[in-house]
This record gives sequence, structure tokens and C-alpha cells, in this order.
Amino acid sequence: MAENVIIKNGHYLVEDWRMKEILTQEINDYERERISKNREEWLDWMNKHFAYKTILAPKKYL
Amino acid sequence: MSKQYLSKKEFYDIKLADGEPVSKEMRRDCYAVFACRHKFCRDVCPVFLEVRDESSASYGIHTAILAHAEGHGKLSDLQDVCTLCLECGACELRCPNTLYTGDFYGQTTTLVDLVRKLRRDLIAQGTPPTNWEEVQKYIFEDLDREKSKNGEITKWAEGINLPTKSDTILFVDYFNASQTTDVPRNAAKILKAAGVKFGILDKLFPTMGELYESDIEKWIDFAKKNVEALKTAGAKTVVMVNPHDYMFFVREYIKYMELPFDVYFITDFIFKLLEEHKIELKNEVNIKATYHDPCSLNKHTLDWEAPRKLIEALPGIDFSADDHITQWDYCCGNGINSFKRLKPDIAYKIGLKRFSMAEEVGAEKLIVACPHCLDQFTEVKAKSGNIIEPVHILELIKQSMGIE
Repeated sequence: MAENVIIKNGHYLVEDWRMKEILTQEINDYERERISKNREEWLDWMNKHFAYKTILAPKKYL
Repeated sequence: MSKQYLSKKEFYDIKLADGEPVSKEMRRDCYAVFACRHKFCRDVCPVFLEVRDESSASYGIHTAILAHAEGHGKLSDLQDVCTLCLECGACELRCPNTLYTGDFYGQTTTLVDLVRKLRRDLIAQGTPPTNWEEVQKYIFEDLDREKSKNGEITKWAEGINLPTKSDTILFVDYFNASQTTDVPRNAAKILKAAGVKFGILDKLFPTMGELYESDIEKWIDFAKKNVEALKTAGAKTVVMVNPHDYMFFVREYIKYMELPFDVYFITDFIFKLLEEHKIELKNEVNIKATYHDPCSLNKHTLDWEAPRKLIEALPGIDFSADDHITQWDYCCGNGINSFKRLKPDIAYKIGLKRFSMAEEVGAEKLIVACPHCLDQFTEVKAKSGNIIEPVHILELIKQSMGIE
């Protein structure tokens, strides 16, 4: 990996110098938790609703 | 400590106006949404699902402001478009920027703040959103209530005997105090039966979002007065009966001031009492019901568990509800602030659609936790003749506890 990995409160963060053109918002810890909690719940929901079966490859490839 | 959500873009403070340049940051922010080809914000928007007009979605509104920035249009061209937002927050949840990368890049999509800003800026330059006069009438009514004598706003509590100073304060806003008085009365009776020592404010100030998106200075001034009144009353814990106010306290008030107390929504507070065995749900509630997540709880403050757990704890109830993620694209049609007054026809259709979702799960009653949803569904039921009955969750809890 070309750059450092920044982890704050268990979350990966982009390096500051990359965000000079597109400015970052003021996001507090609650907000960060809100986003990551949503992500997990959303992915669970996707798995429950749209990944109810595993589609196998045709027999000739097994 | 209670929840505190904050999402703030400083450049939203710079006013937009016809003929005025748009800040570099605002242009870039709008460009980021315009350049997105996911358009997931559209698929989850209850207004888009009803009207199929892309200009109403997060993508459309950001793109329109970008067009204004580039000189392809004027801000006043958005007088109608800006009314097509419920401020429900679904697009913010579903947008890949917010959902997948917001915490990483520190960069999220904040349409709700943008729509509020847009409406404010349009009003400031004398080209208010279409049909705004209906909203203004409502704002004046609320401001008149503020000028009414002390005691007018606590009429709903007659006969319950509540002090005006306490560690725990039940915050009852103007809407509940004047239009859905059963909601705060039931809340007060439940808390009393659970042995909670609490009080209410005898003088409080407007909290309505319609004012927030038209006269922000006045709204902030009232917000500060509310916090001061709660402090003076000795509040260490504030329990809200209106989820819109709960959302304003934990998401908006904290942008402008510090809150020297914890804030809870009533269903969270009651669920805590249930867990501590201070409340007993003993009487059977034999109804076939489903639950409608208010946008202010489910989407803005991620507060969807406590109401469901409380409903499930009611003995005898036949309960089936769509999960909270599925309900991201549901709304009663009222919207968070002005939508129902700006677009009454679309509000009605969205409400009607929500009834049809309730029919699909075979419900006879639609349980709500928000007085605005209750008001809206009651109106939609009266207009449509639908057989589904909206009922507030506190009414059912009160029945089950055996409180008169």
C-alpha cells in the first residue's frame, strides 16, 4: 500500500492531504457511528432480500 | 449521554440568489451528486416513487443548483422543484456517498439541509416556494401561540397535576399541546403510573420546522430560549413526545448550542421502564396491527427498535411489520416540515400508498409513534374511507397498563 492506513475509533479514514480539493465536512463520532451502522444494516438487509440462494455455475464448470 | 447527530457543511451558510455567484465549495458539492450515475437517491424517495419526476430527487435538486451556478438557470426557477421534498432523509441514507464512503472521506450527501437552505434563500430574495402562503399562515398561528398567556400551552395537562420544576421534564410542543392532546396526556399518565417524578414547562417556545426553513435566526433564538427554560426548570433528562422535536434537539439544536441535559424519545424512555419492571403490560390488546416508522425516528435518528419491542410486548397483539430498512421509502405524506401544506395532493397519495402497504400485511390498525403521522393518516382515512385505523402507540400501552 502506497500510503498510511489511518484508523480512528475503529474506522478507516482517508489521509488529510487528499481532501484539499474536496473539503471534508464536520462529522462527529455519533455521525460516523450512524453511517457505519446504516451500512451494516443495509448490507444485512440486502443479503436477506436479494441473496436468498446461491446460484451455482453450470455443471460443466464444477 | 443521549444521541447527538451532526452533519454540517459550513458553505451552506453562504446565501444563494439570482444573479449572484455560487461558492466554489457549493458548486463542487452539487457537481459530485450530478456526476453520480447510481441515482439510488431516486429509488428510495417517496415523492419520486409517486410523481416519477426526477427533478424532485436529491440528484435533481443538486443538479438544478449546479445549473444555476453555471449560468444555465436562475435560483428562482426552483420555486416549484424545492417544494417536492419531504425532508424524510431517505436519500441521505441510501446515497452511496453517505452509506459507503461518508465516514471514510468525511463527505456525505445532505439534501435535507440543502432543501431547507434553498427554501430560506428563495424566501429571502422574494421568490418563495410555490404555495408558501399556506405555510406562512401556519407559522403565524404558531407564533400567536407563543404570545398567549402562561398556562395556555399546558391546558392539555389539566387534572394531571404536574410540577414545573424537576430533574426530568416532559417536553410537549405546541402541536401536541394544541392538536393531538391525547398523546401528551397518555405519555404523562404512563410516566406517572410508572412512578417517574417529572414535570412540564409552563412556558416554551416554537419548535416548528416551517420556521426553521424560513426564518432561521428566529428559530435559533426560540431554540436557545427552550434550552434556557429547560435549564431553569432543573432538567437533567428531557423526554420528548414529538419525534420531530426529538430530531431537532439531537440533530439541529446541537449545531448552535450545547445541551446541558440528556434527550430521550418517549418510546425509548418507556421501554427502559419496561426493562426495569416499572411498567407492567397486563391487559390484552387483541388487534391485528402493523407499525409505521416515522421518518424523524427511523431515518433521521435511527430509532426504530424501542417502538417495535414495546408493541411486541403487548399481550394478545397480532403484529406484523415491514422491517425498518424496507420502510426507508415509506412516509405518511406529511413530511418533516412544510411538505403537506405545499403539496397536499401528493401528500394524500403518499399516505394512501402507505395504507395499501399496511393492507398487504393484513393489518386492521396502523400503529404510529408520531403525532404528525397520526394527524396525516386520520385525514387520509377520512378522505379515502380506508378501513385501516391509525392508532398512537401510547394509546395501546395505556390500555394494556389498565390506565383510564
